[in-house]
Amino acid sequence: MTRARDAVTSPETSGDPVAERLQVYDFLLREAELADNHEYGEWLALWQEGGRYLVPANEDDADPRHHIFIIFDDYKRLCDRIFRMSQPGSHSQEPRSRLCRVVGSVGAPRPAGDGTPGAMVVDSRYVLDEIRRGEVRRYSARQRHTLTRDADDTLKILSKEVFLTENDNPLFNLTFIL
Amino acid sequence: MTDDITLRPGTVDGTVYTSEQVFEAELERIFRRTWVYVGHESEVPEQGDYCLKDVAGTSLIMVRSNDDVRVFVNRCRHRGNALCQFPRGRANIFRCPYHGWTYRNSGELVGVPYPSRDEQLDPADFGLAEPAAVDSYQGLVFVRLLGDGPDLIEHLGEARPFIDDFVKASPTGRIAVRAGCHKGKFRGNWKFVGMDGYHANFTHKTVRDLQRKNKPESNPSSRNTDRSTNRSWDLGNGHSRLDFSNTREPENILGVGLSDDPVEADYRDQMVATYGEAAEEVMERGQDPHVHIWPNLQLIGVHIRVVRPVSARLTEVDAYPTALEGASDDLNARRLRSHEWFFGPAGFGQPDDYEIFERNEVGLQTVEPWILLSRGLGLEEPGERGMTWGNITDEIPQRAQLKAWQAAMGEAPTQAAATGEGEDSA
Repeated sequence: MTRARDAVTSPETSGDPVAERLQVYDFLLREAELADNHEYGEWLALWQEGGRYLVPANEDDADPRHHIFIIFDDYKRLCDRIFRMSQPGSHSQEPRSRLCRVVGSVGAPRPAGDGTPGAMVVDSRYVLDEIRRGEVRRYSARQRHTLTRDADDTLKILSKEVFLTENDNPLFNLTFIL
Repeated sequence: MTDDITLRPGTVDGTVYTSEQVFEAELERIFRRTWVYVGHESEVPEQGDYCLKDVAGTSLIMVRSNDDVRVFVNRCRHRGNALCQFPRGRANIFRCPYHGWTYRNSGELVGVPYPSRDEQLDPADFGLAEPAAVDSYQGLVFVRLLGDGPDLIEHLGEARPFIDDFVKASPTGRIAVRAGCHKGKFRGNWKFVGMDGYHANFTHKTVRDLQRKNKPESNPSSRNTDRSTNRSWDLGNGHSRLDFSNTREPENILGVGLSDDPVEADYRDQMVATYGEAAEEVMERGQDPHVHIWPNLQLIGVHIRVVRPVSARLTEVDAYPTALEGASDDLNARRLRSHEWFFGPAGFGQPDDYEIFERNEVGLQTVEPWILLSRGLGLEEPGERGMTWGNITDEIPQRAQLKAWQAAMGEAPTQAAATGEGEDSA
C-alpha cells in the first residue's frame, strides 16, 4: 500500500511507458484496496472534480440519454453517494459487506479518445467477492478508467465505467463501491 | 385462517410471508387467476417484435402480430420445449429447435416435420397456448392465465384514474417503455412490496440526511408523519395508493417538469398546448401516481414496477422507467437521472427498502409470528365509491392488500399457514 501511494505521486514517469504502466497499475490496486476497505473519503480523494462514475444497466454500451443506468453519478451525485454511505442508518451496509476484489487483465494506458489533454484510458477487469450475513455473492466486471494528472502530477480519476457481467440479471443490493 | 386474520383485528399471521406452502397456493390462486401485469405495448413497437416476460414462473411471449399485441405461453405444444431464448427480438415465425415445429407469430402451428408418421395430428389444434384472458389499458398489457373472472376494467376499478394520470404526463398522452430495466431482488416475500407511508423517515434516514444537507431550510420528514395532510388510500380490489399531493419532495426525485429552466419550460409549453388550462394540474398529478395495482404492478415516480415472486422468501422486482412520447430527449433523460437517484440496486433509497425486507423475513422465522397492521384501524374516512383513506402513515394499504389476498386465497391454504402444518421452515 505504501508503495502504491508513492508511485501515484511520482513525477518520474513521463516519457517512460513501462514506468507509467506500472504507476497506473499501482493506482488501480490502490483504488481497489480503498474500495474493499470502505475508505470512502480516501477513495473520493482519488477523483478529479467533475469526474463521472458510471455503471450501465442491461447492456455495456447503453446510451445514457436513452437508457437507465445502475449508477450515473456526476461529481455532485458522487459526493452525495459518499455522504450518504457515510451516515449512520445506511441500513444496507449495517453491517458492512466484507469485500475482496482481484484486479487483473490490466491493459496498457492509451491517450483518451476524446482528446482531453493529458488524459489516458486504461481497461482492466476484476472479480469481487461480497460476504454479508453469511452469504457469499460473486461479481465480475470489466472496468474502464479515464485518468489524468493534477498539478502535483498525481493521478486522478476523470471517469470510471464498470461493466458488470451480470448487469442484465436481477441484482441484490450494490451499496458498496463497484 | 380467514377467520384468524379477523380474529384479532389488525394482525396477521407472519407465516403468510414465510411459508412455501402458502406461496404455492398464491401462485395458483392469485398469480394464475387474477389479472396480472405483463408488459407495455411500446416494448414491442414494430410488427414481429417480441419480448419474453415471466409471470410467477410462467414464461410468456408478448409479440406484435398483425398490429395486435398478443401474449402466448413460451412453450412448444409438442413436448413443451421453450421456444424463445432471447429476451427480445423480431420474428415472423417461432421454430422449436427440438423437432422443428414452426409457429406463426400469431400463434398458428404451420409446420410439423415428417407428418406422414402422425396423420391424426391436426395442426389447428396445436397453436401456441394463450392465457385465458388478455387485455390492455393505456398500453399496459395484463393477462389472466387461468379461469374466469371480472374483465380488466372492472378489476382495475378505482386504480384506473391513476393510470390515466401516469400516461397524461406525456404531451401526447402516451408513454413508452424503451429505456431498459432496473432488475432487483431481495430475500423476502413479494407482499412486502406494497405501499407504506410510515417507513420513509426511518428506512430512508440517510436520504433525509442528504436532503437536509443539500437544502438545510427544508423539512423533508414532515410529509410522512401523523401530522401530515398526505393520505393513504384503499382503492378497492386490493389496489392502494399513497397520496403525496399535499407536499412534494424538496429534492425532485419523482419526476420533472415543474421548474422554469428551458428544458422543463419547453415541456410545460407542450403540456399547455395539449391540455390547456388543465396543464398544471395534469403535470402535478402525473408526477407520481404512487399506486399499487394488485397483485404485481406499481406506478411510482416515472417508472412501472413489476413484482415477480420467485419463492416465499425470494422476490425479483423489475423497474421500467418510462419515456414521455412527444417530450424532448433532454426531458426524458432527466427522468432517467431522477429515477436513478433513488431507485435501482445502487440507488440512494431502494437498497434500504430491500435490506429492511430481508430483515423482516428473518424476524418472521419464529414461533410467535403475529404482526400488527393496525395503524389507523377504525379511523378510516370514507371516500367516494367505496374507497377509504387515512393518514399517510396508516396501514390502510397493507390491510387493502390482505383483504384481496384473503378473498383470493379462501380457506384451505391459509389454514395451513395458521397451524404451520407441512411447513418446510423452522
